Amino acid sequence: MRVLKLSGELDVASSAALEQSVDEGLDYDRLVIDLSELEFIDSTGLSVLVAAHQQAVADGREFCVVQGPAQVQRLLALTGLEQRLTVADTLEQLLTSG
Amino acid sequence: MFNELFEILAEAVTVRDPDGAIVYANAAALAYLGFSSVEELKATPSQSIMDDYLVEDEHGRPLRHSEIPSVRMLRGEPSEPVLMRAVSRSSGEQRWTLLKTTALRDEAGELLGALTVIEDVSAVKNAEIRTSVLAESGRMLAADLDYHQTLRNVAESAVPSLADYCAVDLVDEQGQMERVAACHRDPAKLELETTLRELPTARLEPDHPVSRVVATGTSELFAEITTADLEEAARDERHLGILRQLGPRSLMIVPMRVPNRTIGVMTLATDASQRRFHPEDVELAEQLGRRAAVAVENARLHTKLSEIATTLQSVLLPRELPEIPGWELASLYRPAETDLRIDVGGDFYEFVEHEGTWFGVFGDVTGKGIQAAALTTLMRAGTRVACRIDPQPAAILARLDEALAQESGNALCTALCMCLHRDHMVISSAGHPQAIIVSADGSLREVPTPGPVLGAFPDATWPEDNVAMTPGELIVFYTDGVTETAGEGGRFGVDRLREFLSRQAGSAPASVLNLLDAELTEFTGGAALTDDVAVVALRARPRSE
Repeated sequence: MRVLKLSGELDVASSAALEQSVDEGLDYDRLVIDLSELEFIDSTGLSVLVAAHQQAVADGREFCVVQGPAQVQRLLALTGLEQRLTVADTLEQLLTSG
Repeated sequence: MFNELFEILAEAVTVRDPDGAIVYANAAALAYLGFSSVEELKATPSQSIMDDYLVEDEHGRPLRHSEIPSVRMLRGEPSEPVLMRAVSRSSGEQRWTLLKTTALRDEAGELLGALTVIEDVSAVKNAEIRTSVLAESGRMLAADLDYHQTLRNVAESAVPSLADYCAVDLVDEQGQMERVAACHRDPAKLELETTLRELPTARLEPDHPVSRVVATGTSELFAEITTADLEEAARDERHLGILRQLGPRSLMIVPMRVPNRTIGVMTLATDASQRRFHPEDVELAEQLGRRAAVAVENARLHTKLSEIATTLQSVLLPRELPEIPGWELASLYRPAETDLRIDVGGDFYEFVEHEGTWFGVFGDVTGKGIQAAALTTLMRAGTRVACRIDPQPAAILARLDEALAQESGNALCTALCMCLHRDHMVISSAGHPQAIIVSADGSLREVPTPGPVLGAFPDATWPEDNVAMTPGELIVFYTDGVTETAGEGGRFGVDRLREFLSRQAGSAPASVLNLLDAELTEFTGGAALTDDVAVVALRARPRSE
């Protein structure tokens, strides 16, 4: 399992770096992106999450996110990602569920 | 004792008696002036020593014997130090010399003579010229994207500090040379040179040095041009006549290189100044050439990009809003400012009429620049087609989703699709910020129910909401560029937008958007937008209209 913990802002400027980490992380059977300390996400950031989700589905691997603060969750809900991605309340929840 | 002291000094020192005759010169001075003994020097009138050189002050004005500090002092005039450039008429060697004169007086204050210290400051001065030519050219090259003007400035910056003449020729892909800049200390000689170039016999044969430099990308230096050289170079008598009038002393041709290519040459020459070029001069000219080449290449690339951008922009920018019966419309569109100044972004809106019913799609493709612009075109064209094939908001979004999914890459698009009726709208959302409805009393509603973003999920479907609109109510569609606009106090945010809109009850769409534009500008403090901003506002007209 690989956990990517994000902080700060995920926007056009920082999405490319995350894309790189996600590519590497998708070699693991389970990739978790922890949004709990992310302060801001824009649509470019969302597209990285969607790409990770699509790739994981295609490869038969697991991809989950740990939910973020209100702005992040609002955008996940608005774009329909909340229902379609595996979203955990906390990282602990994912770790204990194995 | 003084003599002994002076002899061991590295500085050259001379002494003139009150009549102006040189009565003493130390070893360094003799070496500097090219004499083997003081006697030989004394026997030579100082005017004639000076005549062996072409002497100018630091501003390039001829310096006469009567103006040198020792001579002035003995005449009883102030004798400030003089910085002069002396070029040996025989060797073409150039020296920068600082002359400082002090009065020698006896105890009674009677003038005994003038002591002059001659300091060779060539190394310092050459380094200074080098630095200033490069700095000046650097400034010029960075300043202007009109490279013709830039190259004229560069040619001017080389004259007279580096050469008497400097010309820049660019070579095109067919090998044709184009003269873009030329500068000479003496305008008459510049005219003469133009006449020379226009002679039918003055064609650039492959063995011409300029052609060689273009072909090889290697500089050529003709340190000393002789009369015989001119005769050999001349094609005919007239040509030779002009060459003789020009009287070049030294010439260098340096390439203007960009990776893998020579895009032009710079030709520098001396004549009246009598200077001879050295390999160091070639090196400096090569640096100028390289810099100028990069500036030209950048300017050309920029021109190409601007052309592409202008073409793209004319296709991509939202068209003027149509007249839609029963509705008042206004829009605000501000593309993000990019370093390429390609003012196209991922925000779009498109209104289409199909069998008397108006449809609109308002959306935002993720990403920026050309890729986003290309997908925006796809979404707009897709909208026009989808509204005619399957005129239902949810179905239109499904078609756009399909079109986007077929594209490679991870592009997403958020959109609101609406169908306008007299008293209501049918709206579907694909992950887009909700539209805000401002009622007559300033209360706000946000619509519609969120649906999945386009391009993300293969099995997605989109809900449709019926939204009642009473006349006078305003509905505002916006992209996240509005709420994400960054200012000193953080981001503009949806709360600030709501608060702003709640104060706009009863206002016409156009005036609301004008105010919003001003509000955003004030929020950013006038700084450039980092994301596109698009807003469309609609208001149902009263029924009677």
